[in-house]
Amino acid sequence: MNADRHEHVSSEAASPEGYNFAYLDEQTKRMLRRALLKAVAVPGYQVPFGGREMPLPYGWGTGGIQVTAAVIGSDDVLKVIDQGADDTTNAVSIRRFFVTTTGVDTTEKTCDATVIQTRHRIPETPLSEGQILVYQVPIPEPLRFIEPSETETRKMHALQEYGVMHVKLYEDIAHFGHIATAYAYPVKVNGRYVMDPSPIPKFDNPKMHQSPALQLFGAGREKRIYAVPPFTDVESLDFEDYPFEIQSWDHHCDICGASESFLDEVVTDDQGGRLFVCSDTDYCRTRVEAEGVQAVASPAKTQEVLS
Amino acid sequence: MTAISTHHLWVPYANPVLQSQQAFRKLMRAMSEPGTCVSFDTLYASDSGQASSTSQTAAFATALTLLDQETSVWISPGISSPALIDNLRFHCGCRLAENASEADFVMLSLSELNGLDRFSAGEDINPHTSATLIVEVPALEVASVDEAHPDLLVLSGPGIKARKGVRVQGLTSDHRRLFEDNHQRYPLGVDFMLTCGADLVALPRSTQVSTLTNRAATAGEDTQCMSQ
Amino acid sequence: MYVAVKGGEKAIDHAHNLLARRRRGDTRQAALSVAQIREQMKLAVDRVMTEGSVYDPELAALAVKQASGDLMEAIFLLRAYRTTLPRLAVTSPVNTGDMLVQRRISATFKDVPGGQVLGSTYDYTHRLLDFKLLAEGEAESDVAERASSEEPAAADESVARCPRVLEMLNSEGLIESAKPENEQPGDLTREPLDYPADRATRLQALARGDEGFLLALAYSTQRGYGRNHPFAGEIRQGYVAVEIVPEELGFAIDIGDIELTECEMINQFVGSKDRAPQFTRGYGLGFGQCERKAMAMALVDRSLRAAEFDEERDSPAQNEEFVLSHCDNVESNGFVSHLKLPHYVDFQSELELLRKLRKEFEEHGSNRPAAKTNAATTATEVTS
Repeated sequence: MNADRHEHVSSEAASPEGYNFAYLDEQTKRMLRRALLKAVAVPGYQVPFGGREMPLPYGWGTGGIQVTAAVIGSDDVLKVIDQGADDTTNAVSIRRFFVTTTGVDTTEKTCDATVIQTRHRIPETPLSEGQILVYQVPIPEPLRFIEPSETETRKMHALQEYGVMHVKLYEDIAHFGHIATAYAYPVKVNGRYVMDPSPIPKFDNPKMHQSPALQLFGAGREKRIYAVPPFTDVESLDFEDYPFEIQSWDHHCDICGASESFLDEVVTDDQGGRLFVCSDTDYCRTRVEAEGVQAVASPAKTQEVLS
Repeated sequence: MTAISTHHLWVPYANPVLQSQQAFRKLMRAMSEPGTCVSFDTLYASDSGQASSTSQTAAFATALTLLDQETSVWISPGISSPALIDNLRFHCGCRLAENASEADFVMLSLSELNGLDRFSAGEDINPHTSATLIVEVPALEVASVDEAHPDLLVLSGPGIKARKGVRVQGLTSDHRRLFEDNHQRYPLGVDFMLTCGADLVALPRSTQVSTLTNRAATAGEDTQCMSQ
Repeated sequence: MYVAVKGGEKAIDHAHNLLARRRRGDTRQAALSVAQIREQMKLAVDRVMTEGSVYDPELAALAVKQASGDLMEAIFLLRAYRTTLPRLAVTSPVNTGDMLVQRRISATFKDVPGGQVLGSTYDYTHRLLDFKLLAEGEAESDVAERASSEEPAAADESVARCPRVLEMLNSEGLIESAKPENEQPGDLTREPLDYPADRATRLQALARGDEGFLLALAYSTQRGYGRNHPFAGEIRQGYVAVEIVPEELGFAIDIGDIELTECEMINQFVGSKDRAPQFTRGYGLGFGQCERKAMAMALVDRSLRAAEFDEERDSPAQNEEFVLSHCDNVESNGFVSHLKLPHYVDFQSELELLRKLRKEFEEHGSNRPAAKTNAATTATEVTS
């Protein structure tokens, strides 16, 4: 009660609209912060939290937004990406939300950001110590599509009953000759919890392992928070004779020529025309700007794509 | 419950919104990088131009940042004082737990830490319902893992690149066993925040604690307390 | 074509401008005032208050206006606003037994103390479009005429006090008494749902739940998917006083009245060797006039008590996790609509996989992996 009284006095931190800094009230932030500390202490375990209704819809990043709101401070530099790009509509919308409610600096440069909120990608540029990557998570439960009941899946995590997950992956192999999970590929964290890495492509999974950055995951609708501290083991589930492997393309990025980045496919006409471009727009631009990297695509096309 | 006496109230954050955010980032850094020492000194100095009026700066900052009417705290007899209790009641509005086993947060001194049975370690399906122990220790510093020392704890696990060393004055072999036992029951267990004045080092349950001192340290450990 | 992905910022601004114009419609028509919506679209406002969990007719009307009449959008607006409100106090439980009743019916007794009060209801209207309403506004004289023809007692002076119908049964021991499991009910908006939930928490979820979803579930119980033999024991609607007990005063003070609709269902009786048979209850409550919602809620409440009465649980309406996880339309609407967001990366991942699988299929003429796998055996090694 008394703490709240002080909070209302502090006008310095208030955002222009009269909402609190980072929108959430301080009691909500404390609740989130307590949950985040538990999440960090038990890597990969989904901590239930009292998720609040945000002014953006559930499923559109409310979990990530609440996590970012709980950690962000006025000295932070924020980057928001969706599908790897800074300029996709939802990334724009979330970035605007934080600019309005916190006034923090934003950046598109991965290396300049202290907090990066992401949907569906891990940046190509390796993250460094001190950076925080906040993932938006739609379905935090990796076992959900095998067992719809939350009561059951929680028991399964408690007992480390993860055999069903391997059975599912094995059935893929039996049917298709491959593990047919291409994104939201399950991982085991710190040798204990099987975790949903959010719907990132499995291409990004290896980046989670022993990452120097702190990785935080927020699922708003499902009201779960989980975390992977820096330098923590994150293994993608696989089999001895069917080891985990990441996607590869026969193409290079048509803009920067990258051969080792995740590529988006752009349909250019109805005659089967395709363009492949880096999904990580900052990575692509940095490569183009850097000395020695020549645009591979025709100048006209590059111009069009970058504009 | 008796009325709060205002004459021994400590100075809270001058700007609670910004300072609790900064304090939280320190706590999160400490918890996600066990063995890293964070200091809460600058937090006060920078903003209010005024040091907190308690010597237990780190513990008080932690309380201001994490405790409120939704949490309960148990205070051990060894560190309990009318001033501490009134400050927690006034500034945090938290409930005082009568039994240690019901508390979300526990404040005690290292010499009183003689077992873990009476603190909540969570349940198999709810490991997060465990207690966080804020332990006041006589002296605390980050140390090299090469240098054998009776107070040295060698840490490894999530958040630690190779290994990290922390020297905790007043450490007994019982404490070492207790830290090891706590890690053994992972993912159950309590999380420790060791505090000394303005400094804090966290030992979450995920951290493996050993006394190993004779092996060469690998690169990457801090040898000084970072004041940020 | 790629421009669709870039320029997100501009696109959003344009979309918002367009939206504002569409919302206003043809400017030759007078703009709707919030007061008009509050007064003349009361049932929409009441639904938004109930599912939005905020009792404020003016803000609910504003939300309806801002949402162009899309009630789910309006509910969402109100919910998001609710998050920012400080909690100043917790009220004492309202006593619906002291309700100033405007409508009160029982389907179980022909007459009850306090009487049957029909109040305002569409129930017995013939659903014929009233073309008089199509004319510019209602003739003022028409409205005045109707007002004067009403019995003043029923319209303005609500019936003094109506004892609850179910309490009359209770005094005979014919129905289970309604006792709270916990003195301190949980708070769904502060604590995440944990299964199994207690009844108070379930009722909170149902009160906020989507009217259409609950109606369909309630209907399914009537058609045999978890039948529980309901009778509408009592439905009452009217005003109740809200009281708080400030700590420094130590006694209750009245902070105002709110309009509520309450439904108490009398259901399937239970009994055992040691317990005389008794009817059971289902309960529904919402803000304003929300009779359909309150009835549906009461039916679903009773279905969700199946475990408590050792009843078979094989129908959707009896499955607590199913009902509570899916009844909130702010959640369900958000997650269904999120499919509109870009999923290029996930789709690309699937495309890459599908192309690879098809290529292998063409090369080998089958989906079978070339070598027999011993994956099943390694799986157990990995998990053990």
